[in-house]
Amino acid sequence: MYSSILTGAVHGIDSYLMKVETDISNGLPSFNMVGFMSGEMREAGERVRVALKNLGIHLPPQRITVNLSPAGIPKRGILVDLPVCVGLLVCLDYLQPEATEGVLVAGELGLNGEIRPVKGILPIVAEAKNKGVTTCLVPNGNLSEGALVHGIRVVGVRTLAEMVNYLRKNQKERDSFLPPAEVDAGQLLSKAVNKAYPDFSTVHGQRQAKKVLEIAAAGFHNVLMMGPPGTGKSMLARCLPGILPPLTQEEALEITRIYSVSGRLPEETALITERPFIAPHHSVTRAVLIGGGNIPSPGLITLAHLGVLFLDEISEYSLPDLNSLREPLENHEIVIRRLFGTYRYPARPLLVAAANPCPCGYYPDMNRCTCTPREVQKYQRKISGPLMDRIDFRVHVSRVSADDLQGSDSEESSEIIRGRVMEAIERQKKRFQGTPFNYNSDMTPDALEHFCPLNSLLAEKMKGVYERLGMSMRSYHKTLKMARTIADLNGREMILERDLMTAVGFRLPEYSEDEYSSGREFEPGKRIEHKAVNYNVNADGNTSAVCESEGYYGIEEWYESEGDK
Amino acid sequence: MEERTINPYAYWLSCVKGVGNVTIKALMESVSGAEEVYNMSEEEICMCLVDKLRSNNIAVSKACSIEVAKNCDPLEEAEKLKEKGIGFVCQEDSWFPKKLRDIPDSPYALYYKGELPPEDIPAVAIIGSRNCSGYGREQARIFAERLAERGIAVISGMARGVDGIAGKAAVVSGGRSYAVLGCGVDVVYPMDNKELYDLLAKNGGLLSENRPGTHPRASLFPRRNRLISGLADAVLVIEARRRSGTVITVDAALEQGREIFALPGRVSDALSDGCNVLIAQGAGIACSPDTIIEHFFGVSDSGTDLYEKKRKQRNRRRDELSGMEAVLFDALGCGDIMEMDFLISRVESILGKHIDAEEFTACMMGLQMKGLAEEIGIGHYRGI
Repeated sequence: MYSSILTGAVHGIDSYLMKVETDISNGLPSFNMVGFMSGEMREAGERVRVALKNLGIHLPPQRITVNLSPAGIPKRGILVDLPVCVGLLVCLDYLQPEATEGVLVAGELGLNGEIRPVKGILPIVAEAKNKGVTTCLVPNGNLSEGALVHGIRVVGVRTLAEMVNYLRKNQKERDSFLPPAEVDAGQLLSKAVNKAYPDFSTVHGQRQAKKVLEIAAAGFHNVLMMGPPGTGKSMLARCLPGILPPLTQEEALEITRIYSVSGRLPEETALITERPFIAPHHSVTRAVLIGGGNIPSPGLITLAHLGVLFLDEISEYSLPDLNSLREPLENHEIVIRRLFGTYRYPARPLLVAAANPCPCGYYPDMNRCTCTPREVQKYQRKISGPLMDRIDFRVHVSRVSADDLQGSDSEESSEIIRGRVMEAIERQKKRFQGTPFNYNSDMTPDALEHFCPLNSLLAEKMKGVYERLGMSMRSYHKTLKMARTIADLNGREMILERDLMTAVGFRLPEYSEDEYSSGREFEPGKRIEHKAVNYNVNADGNTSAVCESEGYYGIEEWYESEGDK
Repeated sequence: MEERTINPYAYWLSCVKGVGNVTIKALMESVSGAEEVYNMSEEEICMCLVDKLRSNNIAVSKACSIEVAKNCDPLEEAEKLKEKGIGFVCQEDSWFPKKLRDIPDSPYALYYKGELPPEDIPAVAIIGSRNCSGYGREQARIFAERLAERGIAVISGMARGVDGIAGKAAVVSGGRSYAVLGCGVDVVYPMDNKELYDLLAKNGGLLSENRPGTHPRASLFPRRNRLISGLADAVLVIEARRRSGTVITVDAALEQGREIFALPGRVSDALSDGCNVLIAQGAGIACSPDTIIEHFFGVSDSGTDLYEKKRKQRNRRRDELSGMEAVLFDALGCGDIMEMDFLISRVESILGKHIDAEEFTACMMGLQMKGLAEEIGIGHYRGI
């Protein structure tokens, strides 16, 4: 009395096939489940027993053993209710072993025999197809996502009884009893209308910010928006997915896969057709942000894959959290290593960060700003420190003037902006054919030379900029990439001086402008070479300097109260 | 020049825990030098102190502290100090700064890095708010540069804002600058001024009356202010609020009989309040660096007015600009911080047409490259 049923489980955003082996033998009555599974998975036994009882099938008072193979991978989630149930039915001779051959079963069971949706059906069905499985029995709620995979029979079942009836039919009758479903992703995409995101035409004024977001969308560059509170930074960010180009079929499938694995795919939804927009609160934990858990699940940065990750009030995030974003933003994937395996999740969001320029929000308007220079500096250093090298553009979002707010000037709609963005992306596609790059922001420094040629006049100009602004190599490269995107947006293959200057003007400066920047500007010839002070940033965001003498911070406020007031 | 060696016993005495300026002064009234104190017994020390301090109990405890401190070897400690590159000078030494000998509450000893301010050149203390405005920043720099070029030493407190800018500008333009610290001379505070700290150690000096390793403490800063004014012949106040640390320095300077100059500002600016009040009370009006140069040398050689020259220079550069850059340059003005959107609408109203965000940024960058504007924080610009 032994049976083996095929099911699948998720590993990262991929899946592997799993065998549920069931055996009923003589001995003291018991129900044992083995195979390195988590607590919630083990509860399947109870649900199966009751569901079968309610179907009129009583489990015999014998020793029942269920094994999940491969037993070496830790498993979690509610997936195996249905396969365990089918396995028992085979063992109890209610079903013929041949009936389950080449059939993959996955689903959660209710006590009344109802079959409920589970996570990760799309990757499981896709894997099943690769492994030559012919039929997949999935919960009806997951049918549409499973049906995205073609070349395999995907059947949705509602109740346990329905499933048993299906499996009892012979192969020929099955299709007429429950016809397999098939969904065409391309068709869904072409029918999809972008409605979820607000239109740029609803945002008044903010021309500068809109332009920068347009450029960012065109080259998939990360952006920092800075400005006083209440000026519409969040609103602008929310509009951004609407000007990103529509998803291609592969992209949509990849995003759907992620949402399927993390159980965020709305029921009855086959395909995610819009770019995601994820805006976590700054109190979010690191595990939620980048993914984690004993058996990892995808984090928000993965959920924002190919969409927009909006970090509002970025200076409120903890430094370790921000630092943890650096690697995925660079590599476009996040790798989580655990004792029993390595999990890879794609993570290619367009990062939009927003921040106030200082704790009170009004710096550098000294008539209104009430912060001490130290506060401003600490605040800005926190923003510019960890994520600086991943952010290309920055823009100031200012208060909208009353004229603009009430103005009857019609604002450009997202549709028009998107048209320009798509043209620019088309240019990039053509340019990057046969290279690993998709967007301008992907370019490596050595590729820049090839793709962003500067004529001798511009090269000279750029040299001047580089020296005058004291840029770093990285900043220089970023500026070139940005200039490339701006030229693409303007429909030019050659980068012009204007493109370059705009890029320089929109770049994220590396130093916080302190009192000395003015000293430097005044007499550039007299600038003195100085060695950099290395800052150690510890966990609570305090900074200490590494140099031969000790440094002290935080006494300023104290002194403030004594000295100045 | 005589060799400036550390007086080990004076160093030892000034390092005794619980013994400060007052006690040492009291001791010095009856003994000839620190070495004598070292060789005295506890009772003898006590006898010297009795009736000179607030109470005799205090005298006893001070004597006890000194006795305990004899456990360490002054010569060895002095050697250690020398190894650290820190200089020490006390009132017993002939090279103790003369200007400081005469001030009330004169320090018994000074620690220094770099050198002590030379006696033969005039010195001006440039002081002001830490949280200064763009105007204060620019003027601190211009004054310090000019004075340094004329060979006047600039004394400051190496604080953020005016102090630091003045100190740096003086050194950068090839002059000498000295800073009096509120912590030990080997402690960099504020940390932001590490660069300036190194510069001063090379091209001037860092001074402190606190023993090396002293952490910056709020109570130490007002006291060090008296040394800033004490080391200077004149004090120039760049920007100060009506009630501020700068006022403490000015009070000390008046007590010491130093000349006070104040930079005039707009009456509506809170940051210029202190200066304007000083002027009303009779401080010298620092209309340009030449005012101070004339105070020291009788004449100023620059001839034309510095600011007039700057304005002319600006106008000349304005003539070189064309098209939108010129319009933007006019809209930007000089000195005030302008917000980007405000500038755009101004330029638009002058040109009477819509301008592109891209065009504006490129144009603004062009001005910055020509050294006519600078970006202060993201999206805020200032004409130079």
